[in-house]
Amino acid sequence: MSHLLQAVGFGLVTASIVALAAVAVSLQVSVTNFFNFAYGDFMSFGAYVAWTASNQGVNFYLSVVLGGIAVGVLGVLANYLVFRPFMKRGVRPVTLLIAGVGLSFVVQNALILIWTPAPRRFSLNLGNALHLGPFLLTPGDLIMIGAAVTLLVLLHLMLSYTKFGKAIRATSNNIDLARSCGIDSDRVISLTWFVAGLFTAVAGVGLVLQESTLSPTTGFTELFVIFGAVILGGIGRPYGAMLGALIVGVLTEVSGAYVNGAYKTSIAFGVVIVLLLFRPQGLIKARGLIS
Amino acid sequence: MLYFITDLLVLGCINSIMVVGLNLQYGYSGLLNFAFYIYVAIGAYVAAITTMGASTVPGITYALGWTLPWWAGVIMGGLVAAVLGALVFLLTVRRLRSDYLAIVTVAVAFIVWNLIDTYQPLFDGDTGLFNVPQITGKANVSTEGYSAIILALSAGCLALFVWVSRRVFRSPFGRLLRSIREDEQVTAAFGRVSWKPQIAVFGIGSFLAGIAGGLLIFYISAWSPAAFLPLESFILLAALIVGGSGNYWGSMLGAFVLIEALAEVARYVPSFGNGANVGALRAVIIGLVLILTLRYRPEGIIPERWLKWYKNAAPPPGPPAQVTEPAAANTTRPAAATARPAAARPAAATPAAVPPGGGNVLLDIRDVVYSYGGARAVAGCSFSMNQGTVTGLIGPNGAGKSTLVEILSGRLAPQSGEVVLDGRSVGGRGPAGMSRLGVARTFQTARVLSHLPVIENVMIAAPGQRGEDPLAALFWPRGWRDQETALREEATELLGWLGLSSHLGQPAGSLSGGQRRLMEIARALMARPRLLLMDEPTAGVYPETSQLIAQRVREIAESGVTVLLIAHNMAFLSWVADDVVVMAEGRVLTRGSLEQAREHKDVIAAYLGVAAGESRGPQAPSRGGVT
Repeated sequence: MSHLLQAVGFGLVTASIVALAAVAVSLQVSVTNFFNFAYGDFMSFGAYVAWTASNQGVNFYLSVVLGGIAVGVLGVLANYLVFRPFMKRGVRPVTLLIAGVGLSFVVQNALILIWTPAPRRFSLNLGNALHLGPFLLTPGDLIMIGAAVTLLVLLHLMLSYTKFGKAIRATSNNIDLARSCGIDSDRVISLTWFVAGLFTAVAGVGLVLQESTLSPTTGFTELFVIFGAVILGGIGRPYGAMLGALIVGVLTEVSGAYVNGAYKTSIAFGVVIVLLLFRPQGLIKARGLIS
Repeated sequence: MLYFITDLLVLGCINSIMVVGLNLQYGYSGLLNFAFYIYVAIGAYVAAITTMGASTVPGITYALGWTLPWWAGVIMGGLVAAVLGALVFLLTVRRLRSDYLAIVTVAVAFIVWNLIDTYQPLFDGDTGLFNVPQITGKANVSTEGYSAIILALSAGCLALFVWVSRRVFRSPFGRLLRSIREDEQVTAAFGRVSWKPQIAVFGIGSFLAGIAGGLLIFYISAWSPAAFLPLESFILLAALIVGGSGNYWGSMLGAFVLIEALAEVARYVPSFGNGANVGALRAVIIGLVLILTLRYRPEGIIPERWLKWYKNAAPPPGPPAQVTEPAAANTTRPAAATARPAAARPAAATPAAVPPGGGNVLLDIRDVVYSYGGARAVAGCSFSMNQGTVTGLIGPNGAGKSTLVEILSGRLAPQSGEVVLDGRSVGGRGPAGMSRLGVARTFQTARVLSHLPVIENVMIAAPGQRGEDPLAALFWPRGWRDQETALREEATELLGWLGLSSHLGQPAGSLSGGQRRLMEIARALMARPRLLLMDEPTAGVYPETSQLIAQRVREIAESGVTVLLIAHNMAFLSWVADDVVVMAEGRVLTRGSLEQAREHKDVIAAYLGVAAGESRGPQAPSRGGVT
């Protein structure tokens, strides 16, 4: 039993990381209606920037913020240079997905060109693991969970109470109507890309700290876990994505505790696929995306 | 040097087989498979373990340990890959959209890869298989000679698969796949179930992948999980898109140029920095080329082509029926068509000879109810229609007219009440079921398959096309060629009859609004309907085109087809409709001639919003979903 509970504890850490990225993906999907295939590489990029800054003696938290800003800017650039021209032309979501594949090629391999393919060590040594009730978590784990919860609460407050948040929700509900009500949807979309970039970068650093190593494919390998959480939660539903992330994260770690750890991601994928067989629209019904 | 060339050609041919397979899935059918290479890997493993016998190396198992001949192994590999592909597709039949399919393909591929990599007894884990014997067996063949043998073999396979692609493309099966790719709702309205042809083509594409894998493993003699990382699938996809999706020449060009040539060029780039740089640079270039192609030439280097006869389709002799053909005076019904009398319409399109307007009831709607959430859009609607009559369905916005048409077309099931067609209760049979019973429709907003030529848009509606069966399409063209010729003539004639003779080979997306309406009528007639449902056939149409539509609708009814049409244009209705049904708030207000309806006080009240009887404020039905 304690074995199980401990696995749930690790699951919460994984879930926090996945949730940050999944909410970012879901938020961006809700306003632009397509999956950005390069998010995994965005995560790696954020982690590399944070790693570099931290190696230069910059305070760790400040490095993470720098990574977040870098990925936010990358997101805005990707939107302007790659995706927006397609959206203006009104192409099918599949075309945007494939354009994202191209972007993923570019970003991932640019990381190799800049930082070489060699894996880097990136860890945060803050002392020994602590027993918290049934869970055994390191201070780093706690910081990760805390950061995720804080960011997600901030996002919730922003979506609910700020003008920008309302503009995002209006744009995701009906972009043309939002536009005709005087919402500058281009600006809303840009800002959404920035926020999504910020979140993915933090998730990227969290992922790297969890594994203690960083390589150009670190984020890409995690991409489909994140997409799985997004689809499971209901595409374009940021709150659903949190739920999806919680399920995927806990499932991964719990199954890892009982079978060969190498299979844990496969098991999570398998469960996601099976759940989707019974509820193809996701746990919270996806909106306006059914073909 | 010679070896260099044959080696290049072998890999080019094998990659081409893969891209041609991917083209069947994505190019022809719009099914995005992000994990195509996993089927290549499956094919390679199966081909190896069914042929290479038991392992002699300790610790290495070679599951199965069969000793089939090499060709049987290759075919087995193809079949296993095809079955896996079909299964993955089945998982996503209830998918949201094709990007969801793409993501599920990756998830399944990850599971397969993970299993192969980790579970030793299967394919020896990350060590992989090696020393796979050559297909020449013990015979002593030089490296050059062996690569020439494999070249002949893979070129032969490529030729065979190009032939298969060509057959698929030119057959009704291919046309159906293209139509589903363009607009699934249209094909469903004409009775086609999307998943059947799609699963077939997904299986065929995966079969090609498996065969390519088998050929590859007998050429390179080793295989391990490092050989099929996700990257490989994306490179194939990039090759397809850059080369030209929907066209097998484009697929081959993409395979040779983007994969082979770029790899060769990369070999001559002096390495700089660390060793991975050249490869990374190549991937950056592939990514950029992919994005730029999608942006500036989305159809690829060699775009999808249409069959030659679409372009050469000669207009019928004599002046083509013009849209501007003078119609009879405004208020009276136009006289029978002069250009092409109803009797001259293709015989096949005319249903069994029944006296037009004869007394028998074709359609009987009994107390049908349909609500969206709390809003009752159709609230106990009843009326019947005699065969060969034209009934106009009118009423203010929100009266439930479109919802009723959706129920009759099968897209919505009545929540209570009955729809009786020709004596049979048919409510809730779905669009395909209704289509098979002889119900055809046009849409409120004309739906065209934009990237397909007008004539294909029309031909897809014909029922009972034998060539839509994948096996018949591939292996028994004699079974459908005559039918195909007849359908083509029929479609040409119908389009001519509707004034579209000069547009047969034009992409339907380039038609004007009025022409789209006319094309939709041709398409509906191609289905040989008994009941034709038309949702606002003249909305946004130029008056003279409306007159042509009116004239044709009359002729259609005179040939025995029963027509129900929603319209707001009273002049149009006065030309075509035998009588009108007036609906308001989901019920039938009155039924009779247009003149009677115009004078009916409830009708006036309903249209002008004057309170007549009960209040209608809070329950004004929403029409969400049916626009």
